[in-house]
Amino acid sequence: MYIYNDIDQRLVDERVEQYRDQTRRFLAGEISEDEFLALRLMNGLYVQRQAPMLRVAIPYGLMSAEQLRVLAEVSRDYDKGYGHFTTRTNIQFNWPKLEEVPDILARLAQVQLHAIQTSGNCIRNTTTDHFAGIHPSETEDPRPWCELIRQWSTLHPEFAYLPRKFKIAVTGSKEDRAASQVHDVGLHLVRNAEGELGFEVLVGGGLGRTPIIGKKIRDFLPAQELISYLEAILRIYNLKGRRDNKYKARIKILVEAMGIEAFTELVEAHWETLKGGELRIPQEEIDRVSAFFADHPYRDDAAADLSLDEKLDSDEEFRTWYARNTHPHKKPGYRAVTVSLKPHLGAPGDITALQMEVVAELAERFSFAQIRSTHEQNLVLADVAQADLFAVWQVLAEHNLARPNIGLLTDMIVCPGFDFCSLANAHTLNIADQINQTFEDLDYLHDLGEIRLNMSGCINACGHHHVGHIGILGVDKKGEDWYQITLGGSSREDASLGKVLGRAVAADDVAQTLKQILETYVEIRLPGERFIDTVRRVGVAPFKEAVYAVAD
Amino acid sequence: MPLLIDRQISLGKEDFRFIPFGEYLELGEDDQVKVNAVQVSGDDPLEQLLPLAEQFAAIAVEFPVLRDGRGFSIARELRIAGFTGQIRAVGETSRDKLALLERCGFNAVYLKDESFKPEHLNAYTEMSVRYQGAVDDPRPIYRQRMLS
Repeated sequence: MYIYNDIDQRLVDERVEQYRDQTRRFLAGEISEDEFLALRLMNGLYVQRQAPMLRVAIPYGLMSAEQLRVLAEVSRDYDKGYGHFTTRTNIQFNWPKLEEVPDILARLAQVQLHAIQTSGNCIRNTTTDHFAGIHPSETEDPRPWCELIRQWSTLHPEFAYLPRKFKIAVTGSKEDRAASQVHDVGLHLVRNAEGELGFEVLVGGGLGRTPIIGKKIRDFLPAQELISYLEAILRIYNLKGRRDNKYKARIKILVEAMGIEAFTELVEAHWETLKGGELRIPQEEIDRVSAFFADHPYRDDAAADLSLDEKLDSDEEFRTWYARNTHPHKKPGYRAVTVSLKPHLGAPGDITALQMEVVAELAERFSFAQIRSTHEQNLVLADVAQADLFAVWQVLAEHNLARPNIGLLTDMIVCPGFDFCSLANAHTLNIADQINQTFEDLDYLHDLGEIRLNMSGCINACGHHHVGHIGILGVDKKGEDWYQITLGGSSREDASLGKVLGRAVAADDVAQTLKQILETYVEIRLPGERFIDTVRRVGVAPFKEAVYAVAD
Repeated sequence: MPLLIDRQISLGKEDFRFIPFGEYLELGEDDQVKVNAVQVSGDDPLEQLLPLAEQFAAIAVEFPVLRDGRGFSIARELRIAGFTGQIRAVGETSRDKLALLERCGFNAVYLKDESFKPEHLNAYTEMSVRYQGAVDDPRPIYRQRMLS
């Protein structure tokens, strides 16, 4: 992974002191509430329902064991001993004290962590495929490019007061595990006919109040011009994006209003003045950054191990976990392991300080001391030799991190909802519990197969409900929580937006409604057909009938 | 309300008379040539300003509200187009925007803040690392490093 040099370290150190001074001046009454709001948001500090919430950046979801240990320490020393992983692969702490935040940041800076631009109307943490660099079908490792974007976007003087937040995702594979089509900018590493590396560039995707799939602005951008092209897009957006209504301020609205052709023309015309100039990334720099993401020293004889098969034969629970929570690796004899942060009756994405330390230690012992966070709110140990899988599983199971539900119904993406978030209209964590209680039977879950369930507590869609195979959106009706259900969404390479099933259902009826939907699926599915494919084949009508017919 | 020019407080000197760019466009040619300073905002047609910029000694860029950051890009575009005169930030400026403004090409700032203190000039030096190329130094970090 990328390791800071003196310059990178100086930047985060100076930023800590800058923020410390801003906090001091705010507490001394020298900065207005409104002005400090913009400053603290740019540094990841919200003031929420219960307390301030601090969001710490995990750049493109990659962290070291040492960093995870310090996150555990921070959660213990300054919070209530746990943290929450988000769909931007960041971690947030729900109970820090505003006046202690500078000290937290100083501790984080010691291990090259920061909270820069984890909120506010600026360029947010860049996300990528959580199997970057290890997936067998990958074209090219996206992480060096994510790091180049991280540096370019960090404290960019021109883009600190954008019309609205701006999110970039990068993939290096035909498979899209980064939801790139619902980002403000989606970048796909590709090679052209000459074998040169570049990006297919999408723009104007997003969720929130107006969900839109991104549109292609360029088939092939030479890789060295990545920064100049991003700068052109951002400059046009900064100048032309709407500022009169925050719900219409994202770049997707601008692209829709202008039309992709007109928007493309503007960007390309401006890019003509930038390309080939100072922003062009020299090959030396690409090589320098790429070297940080070189392959680990894998063992060549890892696949010769025979113990895995023995364990798989003899231990059914391990076999189930192996099938569900481990994934192919490009190096024979290695697997990627998903650490499930979706336990029975626990808040999805939450992790305790002890669990963080357990995962950090497993990473040190078995996975080259690195951990990844996923936008699906789990962790990944990306490089585990097959001979070590049983030992890893045992430790994870002991700490409630091995629920074999990755990709299944209970592997839900869920925002914290009304319990924590001041934007939320409805609770989400109680509904997640209700779903867990109703769908406890593992065999049934496995029979239902791959289902992505995403839930948001308000229209801002932090839980990505529009792109869930099943989406649940909490709404407030006269002070009561109601839930609108959508079917058929996907954030993958076949991205699509879910369609509304019908009128919202009451809080107590959510799991029951899901049951009716899934029973219908089991009835009408073709052999081997996934839920999403059935929905695509038959539409929402049969499900709608099953859910509402009785009541009507 | 202090005026900063090149990080220095400028007191009581003769100043430009800024004409709103919209008004300037309405003027006849004879009157237009007398204008040496205009004020623009994000709502003005930037594409009309850029080719004319050279004839002005100073251009004021308005920040109408705290969260409106269009002015940063307007200044960048003016400098990219080769404008070398004074670019002045007016409106909702603040101590914590000073360094950003300078990096985007502003060399003058009209501070609305009555409680200005000389230590606010620390804003210019608290961050010494610049990852991006900008007007102050067009080289992104990777080119700074190569030559250092």
